Amino acid sequence: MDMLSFDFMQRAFAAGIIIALLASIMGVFIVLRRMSMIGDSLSHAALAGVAGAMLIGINTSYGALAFSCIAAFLIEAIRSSFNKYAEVALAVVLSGGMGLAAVLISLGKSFNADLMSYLFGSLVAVSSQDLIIISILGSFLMFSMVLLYKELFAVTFDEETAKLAGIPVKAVNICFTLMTAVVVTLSIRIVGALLISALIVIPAAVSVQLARSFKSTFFISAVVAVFSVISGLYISFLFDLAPGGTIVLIAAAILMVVLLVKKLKGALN
Amino acid sequence: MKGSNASCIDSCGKLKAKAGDEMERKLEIDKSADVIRLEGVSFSYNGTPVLRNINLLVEKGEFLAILGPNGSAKSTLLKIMLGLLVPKAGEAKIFGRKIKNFKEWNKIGYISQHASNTNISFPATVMEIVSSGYYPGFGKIFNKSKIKEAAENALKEVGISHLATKLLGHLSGGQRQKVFLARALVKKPEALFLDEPTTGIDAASQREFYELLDKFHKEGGTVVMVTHEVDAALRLADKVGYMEDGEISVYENNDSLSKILAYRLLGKSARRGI
Repeated sequence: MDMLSFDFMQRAFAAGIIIALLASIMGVFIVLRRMSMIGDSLSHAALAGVAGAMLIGINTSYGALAFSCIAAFLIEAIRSSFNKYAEVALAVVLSGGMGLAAVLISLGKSFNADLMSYLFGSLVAVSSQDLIIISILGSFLMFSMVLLYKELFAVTFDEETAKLAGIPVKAVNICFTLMTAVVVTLSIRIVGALLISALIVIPAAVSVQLARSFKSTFFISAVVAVFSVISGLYISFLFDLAPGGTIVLIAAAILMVVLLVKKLKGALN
Repeated sequence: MKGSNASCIDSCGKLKAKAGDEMERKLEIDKSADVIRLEGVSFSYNGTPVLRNINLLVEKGEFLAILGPNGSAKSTLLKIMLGLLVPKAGEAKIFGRKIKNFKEWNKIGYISQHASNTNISFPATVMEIVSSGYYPGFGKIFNKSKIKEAAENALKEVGISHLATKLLGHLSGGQRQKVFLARALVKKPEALFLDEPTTGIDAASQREFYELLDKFHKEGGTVVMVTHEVDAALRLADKVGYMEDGEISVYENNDSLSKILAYRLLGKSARRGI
């Protein structure tokens, strides 16, 4: 493929595949915990972090990471006050993050164009340094998910029973939300703050429809996400389209096809 | 009474020890006999008291059924026993320890009220769900064969080995409850705590479920079950706690219990003008 002769495309593919794996695997837990909007909430907070970092002139990744981690703690704190209404916490942090981002953006009028790449993602925005950060943090996150698999499964299925099995539910929830914050921060470069939620939610939604066991949900989700990223990057390069949007549209199309086929199968049976 | 060696403490806070001081001394010495001990426990929701000065003792090997009308805080009491809720006053101990210091979670199996309302589209197999009841501790990810063996034994015990690879959503309500029982039994607990475990399942499945529970009890297991089913309570339990107006009265299960319960249930209805 010609496009792989470009360094920036190689980096985009490498980063895209790592992010697709991370977002889709985390996405299974996120969707099953009915926290599908967490990606949106954290990414809006991360956007405020990006704007803040640009304002004071530091690496935007650090700003995004710091703000989304703070937002993750806030979500957990607010969630414990609204036990059965997790979405309240998500909506509060989403609006707060966006509000802060708007204020910070208005303070630094000159960086609006740069910020666009964080809103919708940008292929050229992935630098070598970004790829190194994504690889290191990605490996760490994968290791954490393997280590916490039993805890995450039990807490996702039933928090109360998990607590009585001796699992430190609160600590697991905090770890999980922080891990999500890191995935969101890393993903912003690829699909953008406005679309990251789709990369987390859609592959997981496809996998829940097709899976025959919990372990197979991860496999299906990862395949859908990686396929969407690879084909999305390829098509966006060929037709000069926005890569983030293309990736998300492909994932959404897969979901539509799966739902349609299931409906047809149901009707025929 | 069906083989109970129980003593209970009434809701006014006075110990109804079966053998007076001698029993008290025995309890002081042999703390290991206590599975649950509540002393002066009170609880309120948003300022409204729902439990008042509850004193209760459940000893090893006992089967306590807790009955009472809707909203009588039966589930709240069970959650306080297990540390899922913190009492506003008083103290809860489990296996002789304050609940906040309790670490031996393998001694406890639990089936929650909402098990019957579980998200049935959760994409997990019976084997995966039952295995999740066995928690070896943080970071112990290399003892899969031990967990698998424990899960297989639990499935066999409950008689659902043939369902191991099925998704939860493909099972009937009765089969699902057996899955949750197998998950509770997978770590071979000493005590089972159940919150209305047979709500919404058919009569045949209820009967099978209670047979399994009876077997666990007869093999020396302790059971605390919140239920609406008076028949099951009378048939299986050593003691029956009746909750009303934030208080609990505990009765030994003997010949006069059905009359006492009928009196209390009818009395409540009469007061409500039914």
